[in-house]
Amino acid sequence: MLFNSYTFLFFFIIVVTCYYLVGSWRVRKGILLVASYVFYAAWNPPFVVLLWLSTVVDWLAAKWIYASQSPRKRKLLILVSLVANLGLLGYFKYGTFLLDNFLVLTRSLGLDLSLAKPNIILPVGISFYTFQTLSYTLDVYRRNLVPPKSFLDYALFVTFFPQLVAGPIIRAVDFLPLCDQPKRFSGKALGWGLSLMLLGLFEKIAIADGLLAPVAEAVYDRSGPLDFVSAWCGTFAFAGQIFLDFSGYSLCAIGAALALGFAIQDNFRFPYAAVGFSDFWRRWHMSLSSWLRDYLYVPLGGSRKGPFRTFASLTITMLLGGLWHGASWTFVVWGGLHGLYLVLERGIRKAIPWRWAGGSLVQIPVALLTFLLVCIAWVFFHADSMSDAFTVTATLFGFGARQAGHLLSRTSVALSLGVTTTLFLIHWLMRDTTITAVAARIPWWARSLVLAAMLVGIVGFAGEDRAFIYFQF
Amino acid sequence: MHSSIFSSSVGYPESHWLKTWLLTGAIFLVALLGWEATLRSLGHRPTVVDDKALWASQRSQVYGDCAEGVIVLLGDCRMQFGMVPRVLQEQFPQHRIVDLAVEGTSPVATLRDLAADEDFRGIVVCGITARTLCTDIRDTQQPYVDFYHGKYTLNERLNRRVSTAVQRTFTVVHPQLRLDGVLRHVAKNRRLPSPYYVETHADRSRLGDYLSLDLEAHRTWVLERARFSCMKADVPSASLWLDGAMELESCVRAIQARGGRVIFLQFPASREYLEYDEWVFPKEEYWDAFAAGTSALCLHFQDVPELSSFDCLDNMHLDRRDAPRFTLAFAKVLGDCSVFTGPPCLTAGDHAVGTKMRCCCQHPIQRVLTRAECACYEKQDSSRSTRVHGMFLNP
Repeated sequence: MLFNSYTFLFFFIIVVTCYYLVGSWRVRKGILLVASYVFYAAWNPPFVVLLWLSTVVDWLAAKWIYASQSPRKRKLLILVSLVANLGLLGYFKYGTFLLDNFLVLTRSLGLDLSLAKPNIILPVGISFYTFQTLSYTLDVYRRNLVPPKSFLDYALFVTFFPQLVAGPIIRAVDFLPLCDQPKRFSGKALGWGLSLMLLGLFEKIAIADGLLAPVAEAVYDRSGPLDFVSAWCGTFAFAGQIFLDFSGYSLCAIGAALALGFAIQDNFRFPYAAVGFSDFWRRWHMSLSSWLRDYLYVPLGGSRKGPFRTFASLTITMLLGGLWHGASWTFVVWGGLHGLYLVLERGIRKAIPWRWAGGSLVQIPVALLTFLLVCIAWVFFHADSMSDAFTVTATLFGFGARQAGHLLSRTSVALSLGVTTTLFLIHWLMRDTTITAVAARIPWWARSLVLAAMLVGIVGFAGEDRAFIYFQF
Repeated sequence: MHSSIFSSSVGYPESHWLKTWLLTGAIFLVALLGWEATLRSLGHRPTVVDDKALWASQRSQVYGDCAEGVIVLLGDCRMQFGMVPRVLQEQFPQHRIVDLAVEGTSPVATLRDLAADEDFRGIVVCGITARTLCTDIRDTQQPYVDFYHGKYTLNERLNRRVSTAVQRTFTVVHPQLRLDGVLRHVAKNRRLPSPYYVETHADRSRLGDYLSLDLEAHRTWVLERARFSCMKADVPSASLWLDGAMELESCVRAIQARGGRVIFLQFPASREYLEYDEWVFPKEEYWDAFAAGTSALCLHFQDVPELSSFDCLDNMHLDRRDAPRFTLAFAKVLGDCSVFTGPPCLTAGDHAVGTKMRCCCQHPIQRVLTRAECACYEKQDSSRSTRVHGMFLNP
């Protein structure tokens, strides 16, 4: 079920009403659990079974890990959890990719194998809930978390519908305590939650889909040659589109959760104002980057075992982070580029003293450079194939095919540059604050005007329904 | 261990949320209704957005006993603009009319899908041209078929129903009246846009008001688009094309073997567009050869007097004033042909394919005969079947 659909509107009204009408906290949590399964089943009912499987396997594994004192048994159980979760993810998400690459490999070795291609449907949100349940068993294994007594609480942690299919990826240590305290109806939480949902939908429908997607698609779905100006403007448009699309989804998720009394984490903190790439990853998809840091980068050695090990850990983490997004070499290259950026940044930081780097005169150009390099990496994220990605990248550096006109019209170029510049400025101005803090400073009637303008924007830009980009991951 | 970015104490602006949302609702309603009233005063009308979910909602209605009758309309924009399901429904009240035509596409993928669907036993009216049977565009409706089979869930159904209800009620959600387009139009022309010439209905039919357009400019655009999409040099030879086109025969036979019927229909065209089409795909070499080879009933507008007198204002599509009349004329032809009551159709092998048999009046029978011509033909050779190319002529 998409947040930008009428069915979600009705679903949410019904769920919120029932949730606050019932007195018993346990029943209310039950309502949320059932609603979460309905939310997931709306996409493809049989795949709810996968969700159940993931829930039960990790519940039992964590329970036995916690109870066991034998290191060997604990290792075996965590291995079972890892194999079950990563096995599901591997089969559904990477099955076809692995088979294709295996066939390419055998062909290159002179073997002509003909294997039937499996017709595998990717269950929506599997990457998100798999990481979420994995973090649960890993935290129990590390003795950072005591498994909850209530299976209902745990099942709700796995399936909580606002963030089930596209994050933010929440941790059991953060979410389970929220299930202990009954949530009373709060007009303020509901009012602000709905405001965040509205802002998210406005970002998604009006700006990402309404203004930027057509420009990005004109460049990335083109059939003819590409020119320098169009390549940059199309890439800027995609940079804006993917941020507004995904942060829009996250805001809807956070808002929906808040309306139900659950405060969940931010996923973005004005990332295009990042000064450098380590700063970028502290601001972009924060729930994933912190997951990768805690469960991959640090166990790989992190920055504690010398520069070479640090660079290797960073690169491996980012390559796998890229692959997490999709079963394609273009995502691996995207992750690899970010790994390279991070490694270079660390090298530069060691070589050059950064004492003088605190002023805006240095920070703004570095932020702009960071943004441009992030945009170049987005080419690989968006392109359908490596060859297309290389064509666009070559054009960005002025090595594209020479041609007289521009692929994009003047209006599209102006739109792309205008929205990108505005987005960059907003991120820069708000890089050290939050939406909440800004909203708290403006009078209530001004808030009404902004909200009404966003509602008009949502209706005014309604057109072709587009799914959220991160649904495919 | 809490993750470093988690904040379970996320704050929120404290005050006046009820007032905030009440004022928001009031401003929004005033803006919405004011904009709606303005647009309606300029002559704009609501329209339904035609997407894959709307197509799928129609596709799900093709089932039913043939005795009750389901008439499925396939084709491209000519079918959507030229055939009015409501009018057809009035003529055949015992049948359900389902419109699966899609603008700018070939109907082959949908025909294939219906043929493969064992539960489908209806009558298919498939609007085709020689161009839409070319192999390079044959799969253009496949994404619609895939959406129906793979993604048309209960959630999609419900969402589409609500969307349709909203879109047929409010002009403000008209896709041609999106704010960015309106602002661009105002900046360029210093006035609000005129009503869009196309109106799409919940049954997926469309009505085009071509008189509201600069006809000469539109005709030039239609011709340019036709030239761009299909250049003479790229057109396959008639024999190669026919080999590809005759692959449809297996679909026709599958549908007709289950008691269904298939009728191929070429819609009217006019002036330069017709001349260009005839130059690229000469009727005798392409259409007539296909009609002679298939067991389906083939109706080319030039061969059927009732359908031949229509003028396409933009040279390619029927205007909203002509579409109901064309639909009535087509319904009459179908009625005359006993398509709904006759015995199973001929297969291609029942008569000599491509034979130029002639009746006493010298009418070639690779086209539909009029009632008078038919009587004349029967007199000529009363021992022969009165069935001509899968069409059953009324006695």
